[in-house]
Amino acid sequence: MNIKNFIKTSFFALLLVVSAEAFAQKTVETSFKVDGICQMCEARIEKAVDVKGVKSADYDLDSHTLTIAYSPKQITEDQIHHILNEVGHDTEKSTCSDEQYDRLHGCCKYRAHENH
Amino acid sequence: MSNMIACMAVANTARMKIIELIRFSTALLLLSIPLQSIAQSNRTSGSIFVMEDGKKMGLPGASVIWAGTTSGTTTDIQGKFELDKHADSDSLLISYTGYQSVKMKYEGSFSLTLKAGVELKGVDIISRESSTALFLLDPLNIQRIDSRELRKAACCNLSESFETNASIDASFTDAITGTRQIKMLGLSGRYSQILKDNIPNIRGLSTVYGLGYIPGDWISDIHISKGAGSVTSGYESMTGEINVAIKDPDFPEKAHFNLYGNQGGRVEFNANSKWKVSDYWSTITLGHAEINQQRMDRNGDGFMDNPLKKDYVLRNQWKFSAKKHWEGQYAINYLQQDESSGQMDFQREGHPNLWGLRLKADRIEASAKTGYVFDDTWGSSFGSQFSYESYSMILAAGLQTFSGTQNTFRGNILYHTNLVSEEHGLTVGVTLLQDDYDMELDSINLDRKEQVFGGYAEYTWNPSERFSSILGIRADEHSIFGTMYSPRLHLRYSLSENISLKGAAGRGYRTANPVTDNMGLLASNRSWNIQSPSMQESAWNLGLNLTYKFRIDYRDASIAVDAYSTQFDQAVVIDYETPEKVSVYALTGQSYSNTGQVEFAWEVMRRTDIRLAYRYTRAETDYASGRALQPFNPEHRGFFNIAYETKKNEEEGQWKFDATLQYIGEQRLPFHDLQTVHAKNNGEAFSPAFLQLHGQVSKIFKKGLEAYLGVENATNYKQKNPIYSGQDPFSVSFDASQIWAPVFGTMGYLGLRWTFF
Repeated sequence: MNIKNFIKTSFFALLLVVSAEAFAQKTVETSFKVDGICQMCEARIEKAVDVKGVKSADYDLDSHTLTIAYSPKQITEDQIHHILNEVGHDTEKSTCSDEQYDRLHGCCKYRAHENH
Repeated sequence: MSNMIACMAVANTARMKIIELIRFSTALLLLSIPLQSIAQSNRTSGSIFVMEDGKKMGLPGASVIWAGTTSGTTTDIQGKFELDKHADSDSLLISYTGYQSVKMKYEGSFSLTLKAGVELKGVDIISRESSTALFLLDPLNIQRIDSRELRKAACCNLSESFETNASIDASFTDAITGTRQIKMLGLSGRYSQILKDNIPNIRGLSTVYGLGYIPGDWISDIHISKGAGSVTSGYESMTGEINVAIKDPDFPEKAHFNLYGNQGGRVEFNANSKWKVSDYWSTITLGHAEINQQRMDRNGDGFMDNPLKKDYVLRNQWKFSAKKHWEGQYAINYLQQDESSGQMDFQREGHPNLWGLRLKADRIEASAKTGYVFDDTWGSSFGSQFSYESYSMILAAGLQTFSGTQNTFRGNILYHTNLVSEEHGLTVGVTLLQDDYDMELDSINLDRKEQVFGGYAEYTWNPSERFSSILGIRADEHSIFGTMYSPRLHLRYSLSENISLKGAAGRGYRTANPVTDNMGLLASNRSWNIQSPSMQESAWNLGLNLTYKFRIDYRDASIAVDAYSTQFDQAVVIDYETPEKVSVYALTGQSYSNTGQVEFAWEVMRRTDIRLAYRYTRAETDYASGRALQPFNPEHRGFFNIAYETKKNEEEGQWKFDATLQYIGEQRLPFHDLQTVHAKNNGEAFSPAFLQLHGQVSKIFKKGLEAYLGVENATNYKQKNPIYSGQDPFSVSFDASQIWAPVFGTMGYLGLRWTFF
C-alpha cells in the first residue's frame, strides 16, 4: 500500500460515514433561549439534547441561547423543548414543573436570578 | 496566592506567557482592591465583577469552585456568592465562559474583577471538549494532550504516550530492549527539549531511556510546541518543546490506582495519593512499579522479545501557597532500573557463550520552584527554579560495556513585569547549568564537564486581539564552546476569528553524547570510532502554521497546516552506513530536515471524533560517503484516528472506543550485506511501506472506576529479520539496531483504573 492509497482509503471511509449521516435527511438549525446559569447547566443542557435526530447542540451561557441542528423528520422542536423541561430547564416556549426544577443542583437554580 | 505559580510558569514557557499575563493582571486588579477582613467563620464570600463599557458590573452565574474538588456554587444576580469552607481545599477557582479563569487562595471576603478573554488553558473542563486541543490565540504552535487523551494510549510511559498523536512518532531503538524513541519534525527526540513541570529533563545520559522514566499514569497533561521554543527554558530546543506536567496536589483526584498487564508478561502498577498537611502545605506521592519475569520469544529468533525487568519510580512533591505572595513546589524523584535481555537462556549474572544485555540505572532528582508576586501595579513577579540530578547507569551488551554517571545542577532566576501597560511584558533572567559526565565505552573515555552561564530577555507584545508576538534573546557562555546566541521569535496574526497564522524562527544548541544519544546501536557488535567526546550541535528552525476552525454539517472541524525547516550549522553525524562500524564525526556540509503536515479533525457524529493527518519529511545529511537521506526516516506518513464514546449514564458510566491507523512509508536503510529488503534503482535499500493499527476499548462503570482492553499492532506487521547474524551473536556482523518496523506481533493488554475524588 502506498501513501496515495492510504489517503484514498481514509477519505473513502470518511465519505461513507458522512454520506450515511448527512444525506439521509434534511437538517434544520435554530436557536432559542434556555434558562441556565453555570457550566453545570451547560453540560446538562447539551447532554439532554444528545438524542436521536439532533446533530449538534451548543449552549451559550452568556446569551442563554441554545443553538441546535436537528432533523425535523426524527424530532420536532416542541419535543426538544419538552426534553429540556424534563431535566429542569425553562425554555422560551415552555416552562418546567416545580418538581422538575427542584431536582437541579444548588448552583443551577437559575430562577433565583431571574428578576433582571 | 496561586498566581505565584503563574509566575514560575511565565518564566518557563513562552506559550503560557499570554495566559499568565492576563492572570497576573487579574491578580493585580484583585490586589488593588482593599481586602475586607471578616471575622473567622465557616462561610466564605465574595463578589465577582466584570468590566463592561468601562463600568464595573456584578457578574451573575460565575462558577466558584474549591480547587481540586467538585464542590462550589455560582454567583447571584449581583455577582456575590457565599460558600461553605471545604476541608480539602483553600483555593477558589473562579470561572465564567468568555473570561479568564482565576485561581486564588481564600483569605477573607474579597472582590475580584474577571478579565475578558478566551480561556486558553482550560482549568476545569466540565463540558465536553476535544482531548487534543489546538489554540488559535497563542503565538506558539501548541497542541495540548490531556489525561483523557493519554488514557487512549493505555501503555505505559511517556515514550508510548504519543500513539494517538500525529505530530510525534515513536519507534523502537533496537530489537533487544523494547525501548522506544521519539521523533519530531523528522528528527530524533534529542533535538526536542523535553521539560518536566517546566524544568528541562530527559537530557544528557537519559536522552533515550528517560522517556520510559515518566509513567503515563502520572501525567496530568502534555503540551507539545513545534518549532523554536522559549528562551526562558534554555538554549536546547531545536525542533520543539514538550512539557510534561506531572499530577500535583491540585490535580482533582484524592487517590488513584492503576494496574496493567500485557500478553508479553509485562505488569505495571501505579498509585498516587495526596494530602493536605496544613493551611499552606499540601503533598502528593506517586509510585510506579514495572515487572516482567517472563521469557518470551514469540518471533522465534532465539532472543527474548522484551527484557526481563524490575523498574521502580517514586516521587514526592510538596506544594506551598502562603498569604498573597508566595508559592512554591518542591519535588524529589527516585528511579531504579534493572533490565536484562538477549538470548533466551541468558542469565542476569552473565554467561560466557550467550549474548545478553544487562542494564542497571538509578537516578535521584530534586527540584525546587519558588515564586513571589509583588504587590505593585506592574504585575511584577519573581521566580526561581533549582534542580539537581544524579544519574548513573551501566549497560553491558555482549562483549561491550558502557558505564556513565551524570551530575547536573541547574539554577534559573527570572523576573517578569509589564511595561507601560499590559500590552507589553518583559521577562529577564539568568541561568547556570553545570553538567558533569563521567562516561566510558570499553576503552573509549568520554568524560566531559560543562559549565554554562547565561542571561536572557523575552519581550511579549500584544497590541490587539489580532496580533501577538514574543521576541526572545539569550546569550550563554559555555566553558568548552564559548559564546552561544539563541534568538527566538514568535508571531501570531488572526486573519479572522477562526483562522490564525503563526510564524516562528529560532536557534538552538546542544552538546552531543554520541553513545547515549544512540543507545540502540549498542545492541550490535559494531565498533565505535568517536572523533571527540565534546562536540556541539546547533540548528536554526523556521516554521509556519495555519489553523482554521470551522463547521462541517453543523459540527466542529479544524484544519492545521504546518511547514517547518530545521537547518544544522553544526551537527554530529552518527554514521552507520558501513556495516560493522559506527563513526561519529562533525558535519562538513549540510544536514537538514524539512517537513510539511496537514491535519484535519472533525466531530463526524455526536461523540465521535476523527483525525486524519499526512506528513511529508525530507531529511538529508552529508555523510563521509556523500549526501543521503537520513536512515529510518519515512518520507511519507499517514495517520487516522477515530474515537467514539457512548452517552454517559446517571453514574457517569460509559463506553469508549479508540482506534489509530498509521501508514509508515518507505525508509532508507543503511547498507548491509544481510539485508533482505528491496532495493531501488540507484542501489539504495529501502524498507517496504506498511500499516500499523492500534485499538482500545474502555468501560467506565461509574465515575472513577474504569477497565480497558486494547491491542497494539493489530495488523500483526513485523520486520522480517530484525537481528542480523542472530545465530552468531559474537560475530562482528551481529546487529539488532537496524529497526524500521515493529519487532513483535499483535500484543493484547488489559488494565484497571480506580480513582477516588
